[in-house]
Amino acid sequence: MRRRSLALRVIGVLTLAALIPTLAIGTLAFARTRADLEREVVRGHLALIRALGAGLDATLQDARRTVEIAAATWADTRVDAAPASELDRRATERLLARLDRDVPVIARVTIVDPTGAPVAGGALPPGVDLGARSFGGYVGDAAFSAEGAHVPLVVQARSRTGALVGVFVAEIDLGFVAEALRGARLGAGATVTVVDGRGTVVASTDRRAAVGTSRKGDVAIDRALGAAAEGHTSRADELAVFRNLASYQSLRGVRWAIVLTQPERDAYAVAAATRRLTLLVAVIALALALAVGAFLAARLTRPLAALATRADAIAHGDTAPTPPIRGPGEVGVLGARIEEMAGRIGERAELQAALARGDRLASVGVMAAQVAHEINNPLTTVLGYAALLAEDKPADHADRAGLELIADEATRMKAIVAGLLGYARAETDGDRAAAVAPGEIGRLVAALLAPAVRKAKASLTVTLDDAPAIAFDGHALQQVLVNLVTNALHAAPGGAITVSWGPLPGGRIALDVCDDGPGVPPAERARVFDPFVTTKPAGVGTGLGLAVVRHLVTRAGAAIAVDDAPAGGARFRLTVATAPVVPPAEAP
Amino acid sequence: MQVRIWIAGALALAACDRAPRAEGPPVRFAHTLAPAEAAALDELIAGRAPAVEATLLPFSRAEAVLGATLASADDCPDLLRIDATWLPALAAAGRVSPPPPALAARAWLPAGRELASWDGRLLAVPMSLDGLVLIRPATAAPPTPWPPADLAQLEAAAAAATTAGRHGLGLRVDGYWLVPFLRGHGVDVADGTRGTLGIDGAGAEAALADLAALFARGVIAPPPAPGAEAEHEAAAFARGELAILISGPWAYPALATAGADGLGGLAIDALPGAPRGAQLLAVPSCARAPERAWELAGELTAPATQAAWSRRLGAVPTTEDGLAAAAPLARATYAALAAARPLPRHPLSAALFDDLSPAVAAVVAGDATPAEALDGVRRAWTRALAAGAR
Repeated sequence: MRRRSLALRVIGVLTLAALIPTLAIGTLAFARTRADLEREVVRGHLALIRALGAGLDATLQDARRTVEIAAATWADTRVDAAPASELDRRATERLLARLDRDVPVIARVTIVDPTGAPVAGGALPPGVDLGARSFGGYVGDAAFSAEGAHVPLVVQARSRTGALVGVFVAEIDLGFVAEALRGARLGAGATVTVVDGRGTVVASTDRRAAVGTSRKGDVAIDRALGAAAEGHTSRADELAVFRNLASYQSLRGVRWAIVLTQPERDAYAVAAATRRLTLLVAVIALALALAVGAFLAARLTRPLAALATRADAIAHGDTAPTPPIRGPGEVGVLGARIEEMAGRIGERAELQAALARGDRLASVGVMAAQVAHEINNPLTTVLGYAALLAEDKPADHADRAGLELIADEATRMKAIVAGLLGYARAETDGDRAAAVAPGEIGRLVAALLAPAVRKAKASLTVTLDDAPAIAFDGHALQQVLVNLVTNALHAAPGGAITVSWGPLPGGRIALDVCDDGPGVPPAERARVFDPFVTTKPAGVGTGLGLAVVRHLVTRAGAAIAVDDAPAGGARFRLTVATAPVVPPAEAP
Repeated sequence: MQVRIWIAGALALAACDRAPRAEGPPVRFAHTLAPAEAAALDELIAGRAPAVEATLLPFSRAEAVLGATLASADDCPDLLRIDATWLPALAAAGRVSPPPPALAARAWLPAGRELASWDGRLLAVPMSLDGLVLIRPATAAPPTPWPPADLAQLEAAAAAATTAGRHGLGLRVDGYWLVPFLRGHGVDVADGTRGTLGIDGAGAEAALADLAALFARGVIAPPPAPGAEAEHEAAAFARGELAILISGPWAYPALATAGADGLGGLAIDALPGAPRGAQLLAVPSCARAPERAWELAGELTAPATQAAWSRRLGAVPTTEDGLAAAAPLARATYAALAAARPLPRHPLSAALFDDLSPAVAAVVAGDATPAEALDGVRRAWTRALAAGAR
């Protein structure tokens, strides 16, 4: 159940991790989309009406400049507006005809003198200010008639001397404004309207905004006719973008304006579509996140579950090596570490068992020492009296054989007791910091064991003279070598026994005791150093010799092992560290 | 107890906040203020009740715009800020109303009261005095002879101050700036009140020739492109390219902004034969709320406001108290204008420059001789006088 909740939690975390950025991005997209797109829409609309306005401005500016040049040319050398001659009158008429022909937006041009009296082109249109206090000319207010919308363009004609000779009044047909608006590529629902300085519609793509009607009071129009050069308003679900027309300025000083309006529904259609798309993408992303989360959770928790199972097995003592659990990243590492941990737990268990066994053996040793001590005195008495009784009996006496048997068995029992005492000493003797020359000990052992070797009809070769000093107590080394050689004599009576040495890496040497006997079977090698374990026939050995050897070796910080000798038989190898040579006085 | 005090305090504050305020439509104020003046006005009227709806009109077209607007009475503003030369035409047409007695009785300076009056009646209140003066850097040593007693001394000082990279004089190619030269040669612009052309003597040609010669010799800095005169002369003055500038208080903010020493860096002296003018506040006859308009006019011409604007803009006050508290620059300008004379007080006066300015430009550009140019001006002014007489 706990493992399932872990998987669910992983799915939850992954889902949350996917949900939070999705929601954040989605919210941001929702919040920003409107503002960004509104800005972009306004920018786009402004660009459009700027282009439209620039076109209208350019058209009027071109017409104005053309009329100004014509007026200046006409007035340049004149003193008076009245034609000086018939030739002059015809020249003026040609000039007007050319203006009418070359400037399509000009419907009519009238020339009047500074008092307003007509000079050429007909009478002065009504309501036209001749430009006094207007510093050279102006564009008047639009006039509307059945023929369409017109606007007067008033240009003072001054001679090269600056004298006012006359005034050119050009009537601009505003049909070009309507044509320009019709040619504009507008978005859905968008309309463009041009109003003059009084708010009167000059042209519009909106059929509801008739030319000549006043749009005064319309917020966008009023704002457009205000001081701002351009701007936008958003009201009643309608977006309006406006801009003044620089070249058009009514007598009141207010510039014309071009206004683009569009229902917000149409203006922000892209925004709505984007929002829908964003929502769809968010839902798909969330679903994908859930699916991927479930997949990843399963993949992540599967090895975790296996690890948990393995941990349970280890807890129940199953430390047997198994293939490590594989998994991604740290999970895989954890699997490998758990196996290592299992191995070490197993080793520790074995170690603890060995220690327990060692304790038991130590107890046996102590007990054996006490028993041997108690038995040794009676045995000495038994042996002494048996010997005395046997000496008193003739060689052929019927009791003699029995008495000798008692003495022999008592002697063997003393040997056993001596072994027990030796084992006990090995268990209880403290460490002696010592160093000894193996050669000397080897000679001593050879001398000590010479009778036993002869008795066993074996040979003993000790070649330790050139061995370096080792970190070992002399008595202990003597005991070790005696026990090993004795063990060899028992194992291979009549055989050849060698005691030799050889260097090892790390400042150590090996002392080898080899025989040519049957050797120690590999299965027995692990327990051959245990007390009372022996492979010899009954009555041969006490089963304590090698146990004493291991205790002495272990206590000295050395190691003992048994394997096969190069020439067959057994080889007991003592691995021990070298040490400075011990002075003879301190030698045992 | 403390809670009750707090509640009582909060209620008192709320009651104060709901105190009756002057309601009603905003006062529509059409003005021709320069950008710095408009900014000062915006600060003054911010939060005012009733609100002020200010409309800026370009000075060059304002007279025509206001003339057309007041004639049609459509969208009539409540308060106008006009040049003193426009008042006679508006007054003659009955387009403006006289100020209330309390405002009329304010201690206006005589120069201001004169220009705000027509036909012996005060028909507007003067907001500030102006006219042409000599402006030079306060830190620079004045040329000699200084101050000039007449046009000849001014030309001599300007010529002496002209060096490589510096012109002795800066002025605009405009009929208004020709007035001191005309007066220096014993003539003047047309006077509708007397029916004189003013430039029909030889002095007018001499004055125009004099001006053209100063341009030709480089004593006067070359004229900048039309429409950029103010910025150009301020920058040139700040760079030290003009020893003396002929201009008026309207130029002070731009000069102060361009220079490093602000208004304090300007030294003002009298220009011989200079024209003197004023900016007036007038209430049109078609105003919807004349009382509120005069109330606003009273605030804008209050001595404290005039003193503050003198410190900020160098504007010359029109009240005795305002002048007493004015900044040194404004007082110096007032003193420099003391000897200046207004243009003829006639409806035609403002329109005279429509024809005089192109003539000056033609002569300076070398397109016409002074005689040719003045011939055209005479014809135009003769027509204007004849039309005015009708």
